[in-house]
Amino acid sequence: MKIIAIYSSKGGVGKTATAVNLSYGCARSGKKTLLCDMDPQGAAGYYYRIRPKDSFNRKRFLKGDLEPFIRGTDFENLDLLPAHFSFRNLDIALDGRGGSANELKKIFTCVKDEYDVLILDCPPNMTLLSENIIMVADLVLTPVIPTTLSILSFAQLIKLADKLEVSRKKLVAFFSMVDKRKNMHSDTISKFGKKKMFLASEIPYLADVEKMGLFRQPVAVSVPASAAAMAYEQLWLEVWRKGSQL
Amino acid sequence: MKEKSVTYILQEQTELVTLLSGLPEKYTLQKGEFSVATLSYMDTFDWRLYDKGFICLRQRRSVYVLTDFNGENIIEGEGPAQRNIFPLNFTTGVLGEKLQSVAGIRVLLPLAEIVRQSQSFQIVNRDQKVVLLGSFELNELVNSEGEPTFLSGSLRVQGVRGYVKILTRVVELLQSQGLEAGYSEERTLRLALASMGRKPLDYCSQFSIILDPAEAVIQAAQKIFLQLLDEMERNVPGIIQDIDTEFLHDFRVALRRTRSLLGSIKKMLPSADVDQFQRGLQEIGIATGPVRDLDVYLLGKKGYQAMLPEGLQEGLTVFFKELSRQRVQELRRMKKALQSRNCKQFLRRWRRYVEDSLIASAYAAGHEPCKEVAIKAIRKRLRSILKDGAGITSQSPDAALHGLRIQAKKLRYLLEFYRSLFPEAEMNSLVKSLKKLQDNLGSFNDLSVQQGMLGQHQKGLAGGEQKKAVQVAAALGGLITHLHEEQKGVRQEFEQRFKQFTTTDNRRFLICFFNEF
Repeated sequence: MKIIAIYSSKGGVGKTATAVNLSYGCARSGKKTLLCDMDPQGAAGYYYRIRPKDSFNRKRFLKGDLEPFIRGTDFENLDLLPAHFSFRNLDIALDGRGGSANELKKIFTCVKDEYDVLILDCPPNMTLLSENIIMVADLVLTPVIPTTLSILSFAQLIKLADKLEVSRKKLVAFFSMVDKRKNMHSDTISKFGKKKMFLASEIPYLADVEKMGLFRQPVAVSVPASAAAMAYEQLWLEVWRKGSQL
Repeated sequence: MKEKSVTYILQEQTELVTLLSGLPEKYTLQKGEFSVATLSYMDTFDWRLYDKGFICLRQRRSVYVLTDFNGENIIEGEGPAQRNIFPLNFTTGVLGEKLQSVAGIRVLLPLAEIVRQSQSFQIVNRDQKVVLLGSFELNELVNSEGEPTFLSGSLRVQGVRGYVKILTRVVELLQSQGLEAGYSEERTLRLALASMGRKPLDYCSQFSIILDPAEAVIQAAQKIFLQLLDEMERNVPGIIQDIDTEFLHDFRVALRRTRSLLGSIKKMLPSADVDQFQRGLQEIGIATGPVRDLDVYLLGKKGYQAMLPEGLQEGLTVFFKELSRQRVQELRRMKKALQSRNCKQFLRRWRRYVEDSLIASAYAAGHEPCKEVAIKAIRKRLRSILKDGAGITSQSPDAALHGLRIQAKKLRYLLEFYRSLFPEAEMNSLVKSLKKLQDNLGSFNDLSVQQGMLGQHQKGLAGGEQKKAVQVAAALGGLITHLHEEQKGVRQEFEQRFKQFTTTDNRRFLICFFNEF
């Protein structure tokens, strides 16, 4: 099972939209896919119209008791483990278990035979949970808005990876919410876009992506053949190619 | 996303909305695709697909689906558009491979036609999330006037992972209306066949009959003759239409069995009767022989190709073309013979004789209990095989092996006729070891017949196009050499095989009879 973490310490960069649309693309390509919503806001679950079961909570998650709480989406090959409100304290709980950066690995062992790909939709922070995510993932995919702050937060991620002695190769970024009319966006892309860590695919700033909250579906379902759908399809293909090389 | 599915059988015409009208309020039924299609159930004459738990449906002219008895685990694919189809003619794909592996060299025939209305549906919760999937099917028979009548129906529900409650609710709802789970596709096939007075597996080329040990042997013979005659008659239309090679093969096996049984009870009947019918049966055998012989060669084409190097393949192709041409001629001749008044009258006479006169004309010996007669006959045959076989050495002439092959065949028929009178385990082990011996003797004979036939053909190659004749002669020469080598190997194996046959099991079988009687 390949683990792809959609991670950024910065909020509002399009992590959940990426996780939702990439997991759909992944499942469509025939891979048994599990999307794990780790963000206590539960947006990924909301987009797939899935609520967590009443009996689910952080404790069960940390015990690795995931199987009974996984729910099928409306799409072939794609299941989702919804987040729970109690996930907001996952950090503290992980710390309470000894502060190891390898706890997540143990938790996901129970699903590794059932799925080909596990996609993690991560909360925006830089904590012990982030360290765990970086350790467990085969690929850490970071959406970067072409602005200074967003670039900075990606630089921080690289620093964290170095501290954890994790290969920089598994860190991959792409430009998200790109608005080419803005000079800053164009300048930032031309300055950093050539760097090895950046993928060629970009996700433009599009209304269809914003409307996901309205349709509660991946863009490839709500507006098939739209620019947004094609951009995510492109991104998925590049991510998978990259992941296969690792 | 899919969970387990359950299929419920609908005994009468009904509406999906009615069946699910008791859903809890927070759930909504959403109808999906609706389709109407005329479907044909396809299988081989001897039910090879059904026998292995498969059902094949032709959806449109050339679209086929293969399912299990529940209509699930579907393989779908394009195939030939003809009425009857050879699995070999599926050029590509998983479906073709599967059909070939199950149906082998038999043709798939349309058995029954139905009209199916399919309605897919889903149940969503308040978030408009799909929490259950399903399909609703109504099958109708359409008569020649185009009037439909309800045949069967089914409702399949499939849960979604993590949403067990709704599945449980729906299952309860359906059960409370008296619906029962079942194999929907198999049931529909069965009902469609029943409307035509047929049922699955109503033909089987494996001979099997249950006899009463105490009944007179002539009565047992009457039953067996009638069953064999039915089998012959049922294969005739397939032979005439030349659907596939196995109609003729089964016909000839039933014919040989008939002749063998008649031969084994000939002393119980007036010799004039026996002679008359043996002659008639033999004539049918002769009339149907050449096509079968050619079929055997044509079916073995790949094997022959593999025996020869590239350089000799062209000659072989010419040779096989000639065989196909011969088959066309021989088939015409055989059809004429089988459809002749003579042949039809003979079979009618044979049936009348078996039904009305056989028992009455039998002498006292024919009224002995069949088990006693069977024991004597089997013992006699088995002993003579053991004796003759033991006398065969590497120096013995080929004719000795041919003689033993005939004896083994006769024993095999006896065992098949009387199988139900003996303990199953002993019988199975005897048949199994006899089969191994027969394989060896059969191969030896086949190889010798093939060499003879190829040699004959080679001699007749004079005239025509010189170059072609040389190519064919070279190919045939190559084949004869190859077959001769193979035959030597088979001959060497004989002693070993026979030794296996004489040890343990069959001695035990003899002892078993002596002890019992």
